[in-house]
Amino acid sequence: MRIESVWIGRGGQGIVTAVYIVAHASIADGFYAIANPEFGAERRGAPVKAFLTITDYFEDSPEPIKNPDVAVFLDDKLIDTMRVVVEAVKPGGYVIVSSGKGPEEVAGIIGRKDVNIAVVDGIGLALKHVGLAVPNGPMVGVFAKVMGLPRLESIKEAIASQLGKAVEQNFAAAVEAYKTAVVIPAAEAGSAKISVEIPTTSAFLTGDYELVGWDQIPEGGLVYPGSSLRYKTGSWRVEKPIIDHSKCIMCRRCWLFCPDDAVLEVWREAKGPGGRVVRVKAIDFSYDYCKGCGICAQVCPTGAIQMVREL
Amino acid sequence: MKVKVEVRGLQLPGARPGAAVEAAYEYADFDLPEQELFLPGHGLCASCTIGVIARHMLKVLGPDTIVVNPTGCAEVSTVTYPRTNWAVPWIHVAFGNGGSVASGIEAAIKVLKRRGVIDPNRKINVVVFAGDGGTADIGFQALSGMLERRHRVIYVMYDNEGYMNTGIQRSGTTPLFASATTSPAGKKIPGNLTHKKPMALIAAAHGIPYSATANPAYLPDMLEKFRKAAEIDGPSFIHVLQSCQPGWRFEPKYAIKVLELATETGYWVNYEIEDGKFRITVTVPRRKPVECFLKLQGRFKHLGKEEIAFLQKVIDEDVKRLNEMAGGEFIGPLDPEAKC
Ligand SMILES: Cc1ncc(C[n+]2csc(CCOP(=O)(O)OP(=O)(O)O)c2C)c(N)n1
Ligand code: SF4
Ligand code: SF4
Ligand code: SF4
Ligand SMILES: [Mg+2]
Repeated sequence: MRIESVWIGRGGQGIVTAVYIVAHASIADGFYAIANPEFGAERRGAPVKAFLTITDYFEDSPEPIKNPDVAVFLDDKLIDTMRVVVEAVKPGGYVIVSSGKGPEEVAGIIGRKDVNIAVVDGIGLALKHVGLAVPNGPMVGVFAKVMGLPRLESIKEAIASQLGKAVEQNFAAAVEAYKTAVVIPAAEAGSAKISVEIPTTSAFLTGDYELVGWDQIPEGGLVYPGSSLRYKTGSWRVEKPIIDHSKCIMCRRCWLFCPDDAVLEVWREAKGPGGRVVRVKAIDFSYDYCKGCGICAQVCPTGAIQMVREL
Repeated sequence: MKVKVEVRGLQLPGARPGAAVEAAYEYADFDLPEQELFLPGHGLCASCTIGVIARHMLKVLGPDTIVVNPTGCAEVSTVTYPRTNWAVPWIHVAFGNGGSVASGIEAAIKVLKRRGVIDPNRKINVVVFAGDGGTADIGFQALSGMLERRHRVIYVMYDNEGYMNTGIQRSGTTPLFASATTSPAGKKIPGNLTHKKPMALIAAAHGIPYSATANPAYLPDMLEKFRKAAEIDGPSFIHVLQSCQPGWRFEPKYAIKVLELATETGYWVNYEIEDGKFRITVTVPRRKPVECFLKLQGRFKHLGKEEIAFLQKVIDEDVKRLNEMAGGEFIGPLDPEAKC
């Protein structure tokens, strides 16, 4: 037996702990497991992936997984940016997703009929049991349900050894996910061969970039100004800023203190006296890049900016 | 204004190298240059004030600036192949040799000007943008040599008070009692046991023309210091405090608030030493208790009354010494009743 899985989440969602929990629980059940998280240089909120291989024979090959049996997504907003991972899952394999959306809708986003799909509201369950928006416990539960291993008792032990705190709460979240996850079986067999592989680059490319061979890289590894604009860090966001123009006094404190150059001063049409339409300066946001840190709302002296939940 | 950004050398789907890509947003116009030279699309944490410092640093220094960036958060998060968000010439250097590489660049520019390859009247800024670890610890001798040789380089040390890139280890500028992964708070030892190195004073002791401390929450003061540093014909050093969400453990939205409190409590005093003359540039009429600064941050969560009182005493003494150096009470007395 050999199960290869790839876990996709964001820095701060506990993905590393998740694969360690499943690995330790599998070992307690008598299997062998290799868990290797892999993150690039990016920070909290940026996409992170982890590999987890479970076997019933000893093997020492911590190779990156190119075509997994299982892909686990801790955040449904990552399906689109990480589509290559969905495409690389073996036909008949599993795609497990944490999402507040309905299972059918998630299946639509995944868009493959030759894989089994499991959906659970991981964030909702984590908030309910643990009080934190960290969906790793529930995803461990769903993994155990669809793969038939590791056993729930072993998962509990692994939560205790890997987390060491809030064990009952995290276990309760895992168990409820185990029980309530909706599984949509594959409708088609699919072709035996798949052409897509997860790239082995350690940089986790999230923009519209295409990797070129080493012999095509400009001398000295030069990169050019503006190349970051294709990296849309807006996908990191959990909350987004919105503005009430009637409260804004155009002091520009928000613009001054945004670390991501995501506060913009733009022209806006407004009704002037006598119904005349006038063009006025106004604050707006560049949602392509805004990471939702909330600094702009905090520094605004008039409370014109509010942060609203987006996920 | 729409910005046109040329993307050369990159293999972009649907666009040949050399094709211009239009950024889908407009820039504002301001008294400060509208041009952003520290573009979005970087990988710094949400709320990381490295972004605030670098944006404004380049607004002041302008496009004719060469950035020398030793490894650390700023370097690793902004330049991940195949992208960069620096719209000025930028060079990656090792953890400890920012000062040396900048010295070489400055010397080379001098020679090229002498030989007429570069217009001798063209003003080119060479700036080192380095972390506290890369400056106060491993980069110290390279910095000292650069100051000693009097290269015309602006050395900006962004100080997040730890080795953040590698997982929050303590550095020579980690404050007393802060918990870091190599100085964890335990039952016996309340976190880091050393005091913060006063890097601006140490740099000034080399007899350089300009050395200063700055805080991005006090933007006009920080901008003025960058401007002065750029005008000086010789080495300059600016020690900038920078808040770090994972390292200091505050809510992301408080990234600027926590910096304001650093100055309002007297924990961080903004001063400059210009041609040997010491001046406090941001005055604080009455100081808030240090607890206001501490209680926003998880790295000080373990502190009890006794340690907080000790920290308050350390700050009182620091403030007294700095006031004496400045020759007046520029940082006022502690107001124990003050609201945070
Ligand atoms: C000689 C050497 N030792 C260790 C490292 C690993 N390293 C990379 S960045 C870093 C810490 C950087 O700390 P700092 O300069 O304060 O920058 P920050 O990450 O906090 O922004 C370390 C230890 C290295 N790159 N080179
Ligand atoms: S939430 Fe943060 S990133 Fe977004 S616009 Fe406001 S300050 Fe900028
Ligand atoms: S800080 Fe508030 S009042 Fe000032 S410009 Fe921004 S939104 Fe308007
Ligand atoms: S770890 Fe700290 S210094 Fe590094 S990018 Fe994040 S907030 Fe900035
Ligand atoms: Mg540092």
